[in-house]
Amino acid sequence: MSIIFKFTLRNIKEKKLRTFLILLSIIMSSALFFASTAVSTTVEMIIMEQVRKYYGSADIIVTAGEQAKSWAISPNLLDNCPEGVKYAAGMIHGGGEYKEKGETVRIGIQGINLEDLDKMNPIILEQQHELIPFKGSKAIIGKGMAEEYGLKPGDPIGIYMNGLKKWFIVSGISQPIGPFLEDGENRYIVVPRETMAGLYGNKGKVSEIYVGLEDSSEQDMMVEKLSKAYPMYRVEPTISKAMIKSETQQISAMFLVIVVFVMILSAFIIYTSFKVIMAERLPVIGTFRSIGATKKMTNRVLMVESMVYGIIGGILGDILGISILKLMIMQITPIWESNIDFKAYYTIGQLIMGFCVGLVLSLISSFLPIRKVSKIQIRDIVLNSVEKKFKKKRWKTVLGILFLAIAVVVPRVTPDNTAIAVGIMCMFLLVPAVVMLVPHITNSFLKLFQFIYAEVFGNEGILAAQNLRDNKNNLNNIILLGMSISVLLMIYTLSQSIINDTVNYYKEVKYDITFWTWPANRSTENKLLSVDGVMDTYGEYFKYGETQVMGKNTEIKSILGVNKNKTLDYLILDIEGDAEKLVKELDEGRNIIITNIFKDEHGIKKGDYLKLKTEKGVFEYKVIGFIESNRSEGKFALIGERFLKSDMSVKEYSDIYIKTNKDSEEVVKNIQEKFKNRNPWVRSVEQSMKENMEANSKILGIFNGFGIMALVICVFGVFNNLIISFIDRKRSLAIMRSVGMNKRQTLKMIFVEAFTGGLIGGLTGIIIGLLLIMNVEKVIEALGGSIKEFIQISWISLAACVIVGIAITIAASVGPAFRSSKLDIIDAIKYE
Amino acid sequence: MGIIIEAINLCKTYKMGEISIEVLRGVNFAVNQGEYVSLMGPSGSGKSTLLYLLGGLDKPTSGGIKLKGRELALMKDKEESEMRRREIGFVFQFYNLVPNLNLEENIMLPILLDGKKLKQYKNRLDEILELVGLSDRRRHTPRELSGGQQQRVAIARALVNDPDIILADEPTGNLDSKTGTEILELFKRINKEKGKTIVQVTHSHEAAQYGTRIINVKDGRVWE
Repeated sequence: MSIIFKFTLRNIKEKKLRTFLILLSIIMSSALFFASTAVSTTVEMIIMEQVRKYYGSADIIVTAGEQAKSWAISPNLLDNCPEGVKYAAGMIHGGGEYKEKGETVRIGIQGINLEDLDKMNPIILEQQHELIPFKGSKAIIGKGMAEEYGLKPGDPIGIYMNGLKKWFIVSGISQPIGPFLEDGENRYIVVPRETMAGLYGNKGKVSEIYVGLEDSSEQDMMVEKLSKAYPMYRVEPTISKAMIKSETQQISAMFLVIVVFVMILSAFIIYTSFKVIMAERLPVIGTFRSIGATKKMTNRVLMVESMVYGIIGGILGDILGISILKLMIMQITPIWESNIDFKAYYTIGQLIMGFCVGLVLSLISSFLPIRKVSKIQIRDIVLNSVEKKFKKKRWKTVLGILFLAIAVVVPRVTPDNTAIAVGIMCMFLLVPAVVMLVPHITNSFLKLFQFIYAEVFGNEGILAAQNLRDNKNNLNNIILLGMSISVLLMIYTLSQSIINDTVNYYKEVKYDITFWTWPANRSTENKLLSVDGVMDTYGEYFKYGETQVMGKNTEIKSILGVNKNKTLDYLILDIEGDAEKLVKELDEGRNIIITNIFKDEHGIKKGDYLKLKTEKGVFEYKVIGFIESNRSEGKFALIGERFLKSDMSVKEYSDIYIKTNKDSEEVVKNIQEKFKNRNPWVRSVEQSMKENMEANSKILGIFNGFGIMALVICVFGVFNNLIISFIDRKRSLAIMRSVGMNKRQTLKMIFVEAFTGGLIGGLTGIIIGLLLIMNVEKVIEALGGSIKEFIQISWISLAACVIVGIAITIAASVGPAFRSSKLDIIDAIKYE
Repeated sequence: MGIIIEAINLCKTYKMGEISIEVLRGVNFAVNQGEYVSLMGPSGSGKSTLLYLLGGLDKPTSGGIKLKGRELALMKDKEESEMRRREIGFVFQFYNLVPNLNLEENIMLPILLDGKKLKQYKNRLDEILELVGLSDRRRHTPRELSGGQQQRVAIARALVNDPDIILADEPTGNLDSKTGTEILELFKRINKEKGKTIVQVTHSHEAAQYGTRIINVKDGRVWE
């Protein structure tokens, strides 16, 4: 056996290009798989890290109930708390403004005892000045704030609270962790709890109690338990870890869909490579078998070879995967936070999974060729009488057509609740359909090309078309090109459509500038109207956060308060029917417009009543219409502005939209100047569009990157196939030379073949790509997206598919073509 | 009848690493038009090498070859290929048909390579298929034909462009004796009826007897 192993290892070493190709396929697959699964963990950790800024390790927050007269509660409320509670830390949360260097910075103030802070959200002090005992006007600030404003321990710091300047002494400067984590937006200071309580006139009280659990997975159960134990208080989870998990897993799922295509491409390359390996090893396998090696023995040796590829590829794949993950995080990060250097988080389990993907992919892909060879009789191997017939199997054609029909028809007749799963499955079903039908597609194209080529390329064109008929390597190339180009076309089209959709949205908006500051109210709006260039404004009331819909076991996640005179002049709302009339009706009473998604999900009809539970009580709203929107996953609604203010305690504008009568950029500058003390957020539509597009292009860049990796695998696959094709066809090429084909004709024929393979590959890619896009449209529809005029396929992208296909095959043909023209004719034809 | 093939002091040496093997050592002979010459000799005598040199498939180390009075060594690739298409027809021991082309396409290969329109050669194809007895197999691929039938296709291909010279390397070497005899009879007919010059390589005395002239090849030298 050791001889056979040595023989195998020698082969791996000798066939460098093939070994590289197989390893590349495995590495790419396991790397992308690992990165795609680990990205959800990393994003989850990033979100959790950010959330910890506010809540530390606390799982539950307890505040005063709706019926309570005051927000103040006793910090000792949970002294007899149930088992499972690790700590209960009381805190008074407040806010103020710090005015320095001509700017005003919003400051969050946490009034908390140091022992409680240590349990809940520990900090690391870099410098301190008489910090202990933590009493009186002492304050801890973050390193970032200290550096930015030149604050040192012992310095006084003045914070405006309710218009009055309160003085604190900087007693500690913390590293940027816990509440001092830098996010480029909010700054916090920590002061003694009793000092804060005194400032708010509620000595001995806190505004909230943060509860840390022994076991965080019991969060939901403990919320229920505490709610029952303390019915007069509001008990809520600080953040739903399950929700974050499910949302981050959606990110992984999006990438994994593409990774599956990459894995299919890889499997195809490994499968074809092993077929060649088997063909080459056949005589030696025959020899070994003839001298007593059993089928099991030879199979085992070949499977071990496949395992070696899998192990090396899996390990290298994990290493590459970590780098890809870091790149992905770098790309994704700016969507939330731009100033922070995030780490890549992954688990050992994910690394093992990535490795296993490589190993299993290699074993499965090589199993069929190995099994096929083991079935060949020793006599046939030794006498080299193995039939190399190219059999056209009718069942494959029938199955291919069936798969294609299912992939095209089924997503169109599937109900929305199963459309996502069915749509994705049908996308994958296209792969075997294409593999089975490509010979027919190719032959149909070739029949057509043969006539055209006779005129365009002369007789060499006819020969090229004849040579490609039923040529397995050519078919493999077309499958590889078709699949990778289709994936790229799908990703590119979707990316472009999203970008175009963004551009179109901003082209249609009816305002010029968005403005936000805190607080933003009627007086802010009046001040804005006095700015040079501001023509008109609309202050939008919006409620973010869940509002329970009683009796429906669901919630509405965001509600827009509609102003009958202004909203339609500023916002694009796809309200069904007479929008103006419906908006007026919203103002007339407790009426509501819900999304079509919400309507379909809960079977709501016009005229039905929805009971909304808010802080102020339960209010009944009559459904008067529907809007086409996937905002907040369809859990979005419109009500009258006055009802939003009265029923849902929305006091401030969420945004103020501005129409200008001057250049928007100039007006933005004017507004910034006017509001320079209030740290406003002002963006012109062009700026918003640019920022939005940048954020989009970052994440879309990753998808395109995945698609390009699929193409890279394909390029190497095509190179390999053409080299194999050259080796297979050496004899045929020599025969042609012997009957009078000159070198120029040889080159011309091979390049026409390459051109044709690329052309058909590109066209096949377009066909599969369009079918994939059709299914993606259905998936988007099922997700609640509007696809009306959303997906636009450009002629340029279709032309690019063909050009890419042709460019790859022609580039890959250069080597074999010149080797063909220099072929030693006698060497190639003399022996059978 | 004039000289159609002339070998002048032909030498061929192969290098295998450090070792040089002299396969042909100054071969001189001429073939007249319409002759059926058998180059006969044992394995490794250099007879196939000689045939390939005559057909321009290989280059001599020294010496020269004249085909229809034209020096092969002076020809460029384009002219040499044209010569192989129009003036020579090759028949090999292992038939050497292009496996993915059908019988018709294999036969018409030299016509295609000559840049001619296939339609104009339809009658010629019918005539040749009739001659080799394969009229009913025109759409078959080489895999679907027996060894004898494949060799007939190779002969048809060699004849399709109406060349004056047929060069055959062990044309019966891979066939059973009955089929081999049929092929040799076919060659004889082609030589007699069509007036083609045939040079065949063989190690069989029986096959050599079909020729009108036998040239012996041994250790890189020839004699009659």
